Amino acid sequence: MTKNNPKLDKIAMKIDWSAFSYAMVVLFISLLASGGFIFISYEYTRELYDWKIRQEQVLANAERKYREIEESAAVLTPEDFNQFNYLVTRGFFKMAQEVTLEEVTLEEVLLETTEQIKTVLDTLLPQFKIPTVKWKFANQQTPYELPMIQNAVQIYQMPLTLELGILHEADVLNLLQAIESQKNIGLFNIENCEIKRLSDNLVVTKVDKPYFEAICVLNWFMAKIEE
Amino acid sequence: MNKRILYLSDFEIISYEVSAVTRTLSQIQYFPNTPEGHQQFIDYLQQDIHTPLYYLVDTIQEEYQVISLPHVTGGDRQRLFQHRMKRTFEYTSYTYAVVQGRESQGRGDDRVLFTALSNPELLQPWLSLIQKYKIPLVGIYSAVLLTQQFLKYLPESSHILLVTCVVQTQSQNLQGIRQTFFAKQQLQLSRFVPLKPSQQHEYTTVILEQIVKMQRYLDSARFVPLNTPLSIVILTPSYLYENMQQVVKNTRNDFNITLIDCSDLLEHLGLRLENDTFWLQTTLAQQLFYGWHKNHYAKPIDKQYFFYRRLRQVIYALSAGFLLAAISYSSWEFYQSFSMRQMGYEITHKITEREKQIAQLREKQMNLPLKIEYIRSIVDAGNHIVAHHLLPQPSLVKLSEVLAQHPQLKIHRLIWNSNSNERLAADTAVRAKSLPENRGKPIEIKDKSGVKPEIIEMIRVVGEIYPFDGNFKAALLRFKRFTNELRKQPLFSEIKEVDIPYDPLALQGQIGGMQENAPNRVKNASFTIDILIKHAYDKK
Repeated sequence: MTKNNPKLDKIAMKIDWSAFSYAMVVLFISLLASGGFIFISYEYTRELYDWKIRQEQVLANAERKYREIEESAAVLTPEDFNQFNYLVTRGFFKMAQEVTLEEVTLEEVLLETTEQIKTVLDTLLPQFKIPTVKWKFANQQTPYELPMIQNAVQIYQMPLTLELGILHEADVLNLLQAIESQKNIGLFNIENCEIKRLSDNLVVTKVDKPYFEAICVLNWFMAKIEE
Repeated sequence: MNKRILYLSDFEIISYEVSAVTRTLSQIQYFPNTPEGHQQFIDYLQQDIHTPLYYLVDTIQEEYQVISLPHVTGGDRQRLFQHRMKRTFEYTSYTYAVVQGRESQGRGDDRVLFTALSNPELLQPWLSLIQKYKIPLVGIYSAVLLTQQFLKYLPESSHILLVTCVVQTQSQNLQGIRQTFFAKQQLQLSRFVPLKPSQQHEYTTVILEQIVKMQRYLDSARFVPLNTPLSIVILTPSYLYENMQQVVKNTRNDFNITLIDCSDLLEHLGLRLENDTFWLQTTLAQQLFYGWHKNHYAKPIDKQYFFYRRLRQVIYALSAGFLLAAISYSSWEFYQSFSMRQMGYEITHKITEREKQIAQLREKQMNLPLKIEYIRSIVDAGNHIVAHHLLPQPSLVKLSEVLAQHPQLKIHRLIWNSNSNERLAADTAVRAKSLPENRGKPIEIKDKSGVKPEIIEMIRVVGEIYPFDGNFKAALLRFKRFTNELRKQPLFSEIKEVDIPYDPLALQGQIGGMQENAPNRVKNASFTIDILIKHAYDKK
């Protein structure tokens, strides 16, 4: 269909906004209401989802704790309790006497252990007639990570370096054996030990100067509950 | 929804309404073209300003022209039609054009039917009021163009002259006859012949006279080709049918005339009228009820409130759609949240149960110095450290014993250390070994790669053959005796010769008689070996 002068028709035609203003208001209200519905329902669902996730996490923690306790109870044998007592005796773990465990700080544990080691070395070293002795603890203690431990128990290691000027190689071995035999000295491992010859010729009558230099690194371990 | 139809003829304007439920056409009101009639029309419009109005026009003042135009398409066709319409009907803007087909000969021009309402003033008073009261106007329809829809119900013929009777609604007097000619099912022309009041009683004679005149015109103007029969169909009201049939039978046997009772046609169309009286306009009006009909004469400005109505409907539909979608989405979200809340409550219940069980377990372990899991961890850690606790004494004493048998070897350095090849796997395995159910069972401790975890103690020995007289082969022999002796010791798992006293390739240019004064001459037979001692991974 064609018209005689559509251009004129278009020009003459003015939009009568009043004819659909009410519809526009309805559309606006509808959009507002739709947005409100969507927003409220989405937020509500999200809140519930977050709450459910939090609950799942709490449940997972409870399950893990339950398993840990159950497993520990099943696995712990009299032998394990003996081992625990042995470790306590060795000073690997300090039990609180009258105060709660949390009040025993790491610094206190380290200080006590260090003092014990010092006492032992001060007692032992003169017995071995070692010409020169130097020893020192590392400046700081570092956490010793063990993957099988996933609770509040934290293990720390504290390296001790022994520098000895000795007359015979056996001196250092005997000294390490003597340290090992001390009951209250803590739990330690020998990380490495190096013995170096200082002099080519050995003169039996000269015992004031060392013929060998021995450098050994010993690692002391301590357990601490950090809740 | 009911439909409102406004029928405008040269004599009257009548409003009809078609019920959507009963599909019955009823006459609502007659409006004379007087100030009183206009006021009545305003009242009628104000009664219902929402229902769309169809404007049906049946007037003597409608013109028809079939013109051949070059075949063009798109915008060109529209411009060509506009141009042609302006030239043909320059005094009116109520025009319409429809392509009826193409010429079979020549350049294949389009055959276009142009129609126009030659007197726009006929429409205006009513159209202005419709506009003023913002009534949605669907379109302005030509009754003649709509008549074409009856063709499918008439006897088939290539050339048909359809004769219809126009009855004035108010008086029910025959106002005139309309003769509409169709060639190949396409409208060619239409002619309205008014009847004088004196002719009311001899209408059958007048109808036949007009048919004869029309046929002569069609023949002379070559609308009907030679030797082509013209089929004449007379649609007559029921009350005239008998009389008309008798007259046609007695007077014009030479004409191919078919008489159709309008009531029969009505029945055939499935239409219902409020009373049995048939008028052409009522049938056409009711035809508008069915299906969609292309608007003939209404301009966009005439139809603007119908457009707004459609727009409103779209906006309402959109609003409802948005709201429905939002409600659906919200319902789905609430359903999700409901199931999530159920799950959450179930989890909460499980947590409570688990905490109760934990408390019960704790109660059983009240006499323990620590929480049981801490004891477990401390014991595990202790076991791990104890498993790695090795003293160098046994291996170094054994080395010393072997060295005592080889006095020609001078040792400069001994380096001892220990390590494990797979700590975690070994720890796990050791722990598994301590489980009550595994007591007494042999457990092979292996990591994931199948390597048996071991703690490896290593001694690096750095020394030389002393005294050395420059005989490298002899020095090598002594060295080999020493290493062979070491390999015989069950304690030592592996002896690696890192650096041997005599390696001809490595020492090339540094040893031999010709190299006596060379600055880099090697004067001693040094060696380095690594002794590995493997220990099974287990707590002590």
